[in-house]
Amino acid sequence: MDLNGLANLVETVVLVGLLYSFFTVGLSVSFRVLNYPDLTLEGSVILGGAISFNALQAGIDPTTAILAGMLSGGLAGLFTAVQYLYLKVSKLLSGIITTAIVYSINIRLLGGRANARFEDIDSLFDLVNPLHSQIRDILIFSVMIVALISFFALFFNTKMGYMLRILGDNPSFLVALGNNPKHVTLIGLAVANSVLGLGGAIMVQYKSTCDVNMSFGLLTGALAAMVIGESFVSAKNMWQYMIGSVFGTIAYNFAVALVLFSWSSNYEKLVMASDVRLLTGILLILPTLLKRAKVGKYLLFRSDW
Amino acid sequence: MFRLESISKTFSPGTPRQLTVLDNVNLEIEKGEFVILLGSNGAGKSTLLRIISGDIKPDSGRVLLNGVELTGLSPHERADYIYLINQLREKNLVSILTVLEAFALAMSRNKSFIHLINRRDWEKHVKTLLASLKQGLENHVNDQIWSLSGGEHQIITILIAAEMIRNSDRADSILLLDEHLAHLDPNSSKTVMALTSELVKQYALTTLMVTHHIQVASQYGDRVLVLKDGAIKYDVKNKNGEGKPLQHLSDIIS
Ligand SMILES: Nc1ncnc2c1ncn2[C@@H]1O[C@H](COP(=O)(O)OP(=O)(O)O)[C@@H](O)[C@H]1O
Ligand SMILES: [Mg+2]
Repeated sequence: MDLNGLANLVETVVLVGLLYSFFTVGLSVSFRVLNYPDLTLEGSVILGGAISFNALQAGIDPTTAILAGMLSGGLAGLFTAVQYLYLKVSKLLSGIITTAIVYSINIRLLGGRANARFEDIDSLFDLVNPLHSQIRDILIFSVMIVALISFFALFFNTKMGYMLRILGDNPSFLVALGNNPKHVTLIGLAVANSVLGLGGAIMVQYKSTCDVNMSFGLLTGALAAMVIGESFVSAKNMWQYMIGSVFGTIAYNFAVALVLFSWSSNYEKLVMASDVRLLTGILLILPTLLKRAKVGKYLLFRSDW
Repeated sequence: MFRLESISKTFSPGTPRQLTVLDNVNLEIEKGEFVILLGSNGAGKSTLLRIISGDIKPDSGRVLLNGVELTGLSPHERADYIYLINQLREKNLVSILTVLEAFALAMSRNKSFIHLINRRDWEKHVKTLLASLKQGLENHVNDQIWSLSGGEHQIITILIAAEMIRNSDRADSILLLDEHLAHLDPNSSKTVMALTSELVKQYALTTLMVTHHIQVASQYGDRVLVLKDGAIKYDVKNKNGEGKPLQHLSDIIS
C-alpha cells in the first residue's frame, strides 16, 4: 500500500471510529454506569436513524431531524426499562425484545422497505460540508464528540449523573437519599439510548441512506470498543473514561480495517472479510482476561458485565 | 412518638421452610430515646428493622410516626423519616464514590436533579468535620470508600447517616443501627460507639440500635429490649447507665 493509501485508510478509520464512539459511549452508560446489560443498542441506533430519515423526508431541517432521532432512541430505552421494571422481564431479554419490535417498526417507517436513500435532500453534512471532504467530516465528527463528552463530563457532576452511578453500585443509597431507584433506571436507560439514537441519526445523515440492517453487528463492536478503551486508559474520572471510549473505538476500527485490508489485498487466502466477527470475539475476550490480572487504583463502576 | 402495632412476619408461609420470625410485636419509642435491641442470631432483629425501613412488608401490623402511618410507604418514601444503617456494610455507602462525594450528596439531599455537585464547595467543611474526630480521616476525603478500613468505613457511615437526617428537614426522624459495631476491633468499636452516642445526643435522634454487646447496651442505652421467640421479652429503662447491671440478660437472650 502506498503512503496515500495508508493516509486514506487512517482517515477512514478515524472517521468511522469517531462516528461509532456514540455507540460505545451510549453502551457504557448502560453496561458500566448503570450496571444494566442493555441490549437495545441495535434497535435504538436504527430507530434513531429511521426517524431522522423520515423527518428529513418530511422537510424538517437536519438538526431537528437528528434531535428527533435522539428522542426516539430515548423512548426505546424507556420501553426497555418499563419491561424490566414493571412487566418483570429480565434485563437481558428486555433489550432483545425492544430491538425485535423496533425492527418491524423501522420497516414501516421506511415505507415497507428494508432500505431507502435520500432524494435531493440536504443532510446536515451536505449543509456543513458541501464538498464532502473526508478531513472536514472528521472535523465535524470531532466537534460532535467533544460536545458529547463535555456534556457527559458536566452531567456526571450533577446530582442526576451521580444518581445513575449510584444505581449501578448500591441502590440502597439512592433510597436513603429519598430517590426511587425505578425512576433512576428509567432516566438512565433513556439517557443511554438517546445517545445511541443520536448516533444512529447522525450515521444515517452521514451515509445519506437508511437500511434496517445497518446496525447489525454494532452491539458486539461497541462492546469490544468499550473493553479495549478500558484496557488502555486507566480513568480516574468520567471524562477520562469517555475519552478512553473514543480511543478504544478508533483502535477497534483500526483492527477491523486491518482485517478488511488484508482480505482485499494479497492475503486473500488467509483472511476473509467475515473474519471481522472472529476478531471482535477475540478482542472482547483478551482485554477481559488481561484486566483480571491487574487491579486499578480507581474504581469508577462496579459493573459485572 | 414512634409506634409499632402488632407487627407479624412469617417467611415462606405454606412451605416446609415456613418460619414465623415476628409474632405480634408492639413497641413505642419516645422522641429522643436511645433504645438498644438485643437478641440471639436469627431472633428477627434485622427483620424488625427492615420492616420499619420498608425493605420488608409485614404480614400484618402498622408502623406509625407521630400518628402518621408509614406502613404502606415504599422505602424511598420513608427515607425522610427513617434512616437504616444496614447490617450488610456494603449496603450503606457507595464504594465507587470518594468520601467527599458521599458527604456532598448527603448534604445536597434536598437539591434538584440538575444541581451541580461541586466538591470544592464542601471540601473545607467536610475536612473540618473529620479533623474534629482526631482519627486522621481528613486526609482521606478524596479516597474512594472501598479503600477505607472497617473502622473508618463505619465512622463515615454514621456521619453520613447524621447528615442525611439533618438534611431531611424533619425533626422527628428515626435512626436504625443494625449491628454497626460488628467486625470492628475493640478500639474501632469504642470510637464508633462514642461517635454514635455523641451524634445521637447532639441531634437528639430517636435511635433503635441492634448489638450483641451487653456492656455497650448498659452503658449507652436509655432503654434495653430483648427480642426472643418473635416477641419483645424484656424491656427496661436504663437512664444513663444507672440501671442495674445487665449481665443477667445473657441468660434471657440465649
Ligand atoms: N428474606 C428471608 N426469607 C426467608 N427467611 C428469612 C429472610 N430474612 C430472614 N430470614 C430468616 O429469619 C430469621 C431472622 O432473621 P434476622 O431478622 O436476620 O435475624 P437477626 O438479625 O436477629 O440475626 C432467620 O432465621 C433468617 O434465616
Ligand atoms: Mg441481623
